[in-house]
Amino acid sequence: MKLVQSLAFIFFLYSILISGGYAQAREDSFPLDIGSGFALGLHAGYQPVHANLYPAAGDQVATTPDVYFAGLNFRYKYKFLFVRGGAEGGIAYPSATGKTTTGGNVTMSVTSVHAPVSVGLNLPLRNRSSLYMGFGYSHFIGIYNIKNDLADSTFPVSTGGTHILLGTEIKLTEKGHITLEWMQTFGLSAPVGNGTLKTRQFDLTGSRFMMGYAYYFVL
Amino acid sequence: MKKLLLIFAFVFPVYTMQAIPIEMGATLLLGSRMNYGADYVSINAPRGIVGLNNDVDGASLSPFSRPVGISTEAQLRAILSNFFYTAIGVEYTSGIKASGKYLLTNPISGALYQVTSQNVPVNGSVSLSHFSIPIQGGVVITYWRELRMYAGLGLSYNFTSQLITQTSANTDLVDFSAKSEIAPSFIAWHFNLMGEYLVIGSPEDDYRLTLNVLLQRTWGSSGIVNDAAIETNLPTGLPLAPRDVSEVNLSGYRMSLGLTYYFLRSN
Repeated sequence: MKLVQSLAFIFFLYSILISGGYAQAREDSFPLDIGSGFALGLHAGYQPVHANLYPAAGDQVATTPDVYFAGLNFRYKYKFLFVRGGAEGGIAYPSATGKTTTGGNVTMSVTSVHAPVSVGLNLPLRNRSSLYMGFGYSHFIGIYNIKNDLADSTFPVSTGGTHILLGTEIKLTEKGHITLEWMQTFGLSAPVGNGTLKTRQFDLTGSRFMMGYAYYFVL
Repeated sequence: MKKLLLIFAFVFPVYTMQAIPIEMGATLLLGSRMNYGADYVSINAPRGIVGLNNDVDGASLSPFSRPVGISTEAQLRAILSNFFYTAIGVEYTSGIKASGKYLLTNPISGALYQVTSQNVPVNGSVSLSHFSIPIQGGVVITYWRELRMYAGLGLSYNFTSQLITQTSANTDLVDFSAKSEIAPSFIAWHFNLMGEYLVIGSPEDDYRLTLNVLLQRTWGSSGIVNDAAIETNLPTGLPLAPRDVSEVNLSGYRMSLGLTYYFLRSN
């Protein structure tokens, strides 16, 4: 599974690079145009291995859930700089399953919201496409449900983190762009738990792969 | 035959390099390493620093967060035939000191350690810095004349210094201080993806300035290293090893912005 995920990751990065070349081939007579623009966008994506669990004593979740998400974003470009913000809601499918240390069953399901704000460099490819690389702040809000033979527990989590972002925009129409993005997030929840001693933490570090559509109102 | 091959191995690149176009530039990068030092695993923290985190209502504790490193690098880069590149540099990264306050637990069982039926609060901290000499090579993808993407692999030799401390936050209850201080040197691998955008000068100029943005993935750790010092002040029964062992782990992501000054062009 790790090999498949690694190959998918390499293919995704390759797609981002090649999409720039594709745009170049289609539009080789245009002069360089690095204007400013403001856009609103929709995106959807997938994060394998969401919320790796630091387990409490007594349970061991053998797998972590994959999360599918969709959201809204805004992006503002000023020459070779960009700001991007947004929010996306996600659910885990299927739920992660595993065993407790005493042989019982344990499952973990997730409903989450992720709100990232990024800044970085926009590298325009004539006026047809652009590559952008940046980093920024992420806020994670999640409801994590862990069910084992002893309890059915729900933990609300809200924590800050960081991320790095690599993406490309390909111009379809004068104002409509297809977006393809990879975001690596970093985050860790505070300890939560049921008993007196709370030791359970949710590790929100992971890769998010996104596709979307952005419409530029001002370009 | 071996001598002939050796001579060929040295002479051929020099001969071909005379015939191919070469550009050289000097780059200065500034950025950060996320999750710098990774987990800081040691005997006294076998699940890393985040594994030390815990909470009890009313105990006014604060969890460890993962440290971030501030990174700077000076690099000399040569572009060969407009398609290949090679680079050598020097990098220094200093971690922003991370700290946390938690209750002392047995590192193996996870059970709370108590003195006279009271929990023992601990102040923990980690700090890490490293100096490295990275080399790398790869391909240059040119999008138009103003923009380039570099994709390459490389390795670096790293001189590191890491300190993990755990001290009592209630010395009236129990007084102790345990630290793990190591300074291993080791090789790490990295994959680079760097964008470059021409901001001053034209692509044909010998002298020009570009803006760079670097995304780097690094893999490398020291393996387990013995702490040189043995703690002598640990009270009997305290679940901390007098001689801690730990590792330096530089695996993670780095993001940097920079400027490159191109100063040489042949052919």
